[in-house]
Amino acid sequence: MTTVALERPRPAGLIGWLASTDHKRIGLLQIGASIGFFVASGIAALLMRSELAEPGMQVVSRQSYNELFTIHGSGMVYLTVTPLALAVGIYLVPLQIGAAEIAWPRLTLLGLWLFVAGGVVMYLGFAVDHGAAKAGWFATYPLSSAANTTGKGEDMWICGVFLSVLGNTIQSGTLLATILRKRAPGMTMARVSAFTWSMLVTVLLAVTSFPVLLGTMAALEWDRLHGGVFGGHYGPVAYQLLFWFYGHPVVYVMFFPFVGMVAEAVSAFSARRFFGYKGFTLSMLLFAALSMSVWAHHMFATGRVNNEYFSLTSTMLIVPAGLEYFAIIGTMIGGAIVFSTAMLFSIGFLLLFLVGGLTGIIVASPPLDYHLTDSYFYVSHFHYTLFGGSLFGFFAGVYYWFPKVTGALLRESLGKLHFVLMVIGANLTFFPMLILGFEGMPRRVATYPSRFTTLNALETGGGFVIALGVLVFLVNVWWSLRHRRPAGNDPFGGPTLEWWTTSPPPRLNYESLPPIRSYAPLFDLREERR
Amino acid sequence: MMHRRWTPLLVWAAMLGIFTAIQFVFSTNPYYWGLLGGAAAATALLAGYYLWRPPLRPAEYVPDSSYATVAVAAGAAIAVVGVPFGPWLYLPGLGLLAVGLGGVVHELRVERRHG
Repeated sequence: MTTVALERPRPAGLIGWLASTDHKRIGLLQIGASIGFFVASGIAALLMRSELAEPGMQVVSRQSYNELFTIHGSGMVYLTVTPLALAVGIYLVPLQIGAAEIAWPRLTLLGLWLFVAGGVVMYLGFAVDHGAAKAGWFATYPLSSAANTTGKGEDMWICGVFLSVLGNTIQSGTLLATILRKRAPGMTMARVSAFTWSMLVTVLLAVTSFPVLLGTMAALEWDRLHGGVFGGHYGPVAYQLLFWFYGHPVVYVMFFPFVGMVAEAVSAFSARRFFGYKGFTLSMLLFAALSMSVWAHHMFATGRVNNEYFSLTSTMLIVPAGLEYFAIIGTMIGGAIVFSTAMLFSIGFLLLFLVGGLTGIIVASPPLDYHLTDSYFYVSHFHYTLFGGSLFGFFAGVYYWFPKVTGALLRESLGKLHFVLMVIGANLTFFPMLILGFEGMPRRVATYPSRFTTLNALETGGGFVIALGVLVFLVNVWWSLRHRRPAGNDPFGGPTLEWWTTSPPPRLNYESLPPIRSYAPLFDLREERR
Repeated sequence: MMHRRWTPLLVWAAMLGIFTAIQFVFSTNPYYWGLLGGAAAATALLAGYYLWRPPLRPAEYVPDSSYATVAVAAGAAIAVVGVPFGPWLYLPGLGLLAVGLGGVVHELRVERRHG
């Protein structure tokens, strides 16, 4: 298929960027907005950790603390990691499949601004009477009912979640259509890169689970305004069943794209073809389908779900997860490994996510879950998966693709400092939580018994080390853009199609395409030239 | 070359269908099979759409920017936030949404004229 741009000048300046339908600009704007929300949600976390540095109330009130943990969790899930995962896909997928554009670019742009509007609305909740939302990132019912959480802040949270998830759902649809309909000649599904496969399973998860949350949020708002939706004796359980049908798959929406990024970075910096490509892609499909079938394991302790089924499927997740680990580690074995910052973050991803995965096996067992539910053990578990997994994977991707996006190399010395600070900070913050949770410290409390003081103080210190690491990263980006070291088209010997085009790519991505005979067409070319 | 665009969708629908069937061994709670089976059925319908969808046009025009789309997003956001606040907010939102949609239709007409 031929794709041509309309004959008119490309809009320049800020306004031109904001209304651009170029998938690369939309992707970059969305990455920028997500990082903005990440910083805002991170500041909320630092305030919480400052409050928790010692027992008693020192920094914020109890009500403010409830608002902070709600907005921190919501900001990270709805406004940072999910849109960040989709944004990287919006930028890279058309390039990796040899397409000139994303399918339905207007809808992709619409998705961006709905997500941004949702985030702004959620944060504006701090400006209204009674403050922002306080019922947690999953707005447990009846805590989130009008009777129990008064004020418009909770309503604004519901509207914000609705808008941002609507935007993400629309974008998932356009990415799905792009992968299915816009592949270049020769680019069969068996030749699609590991990252694009990870995006395919991500958007399949999103388009089949996100609409349920949209309906649930609409129903929750109706309940707050008029009552009668979740009020019956089964109502609160029904709310949780509906919410978690979104709430668990979204964890994998926040994970798969970053597995794909790590897979690509490991292949490039090991100078090896990806090991077990077919097994990796099939295991991702199985992983995703299983992750659609485990949602009520968040409800073991309610006593109102079938624990046997949800425990079985949750434990089965180990099999495809293990296959993916083997594929990534197998790629490294025998490779000429370069320990670049991207590779270090990839290894960090594997190790930290492993802690999240192993603690996941523990909480997939109902008897252990009864002991640990709603404790700090859970806070640690999902931070190891989402921080150690998603964010380390994201940073691996940033250090790998930054030269393609900007034409400039990031500074490796600052990158390695960033990596060291993040590893220290993450483990200092999240590992003590495992011990605290096991010993009985509940989540979402603004104070605690004095016997938990030392570990909490360590966590607070770790939180500030993470903040320092993020600051080093932002300085690295700023410095590298200001004092550019030109990258060229393919600075790392990348295997996939995007390294064929210029850095940054032109408006319609490619002037010509190389022959596509496998999922690593640039490796094929190099081997032919030898 | 034949593009079987529907294949990944059908595989996905089949996998969700299998897990829906396994659920019945453990429980017949309608929330379980309604949610997972509904997702499987929706994906199968989407696969059917791709199966019957006509081939792509040989050339496709790509817009460079769309201010009307930004207006649609702003209008939709104001209308949604207006629901808990009342008509003073959601009515202007709906108005902006209508203006934005009109703008998108205008943009599409201009593109068709160029095509």
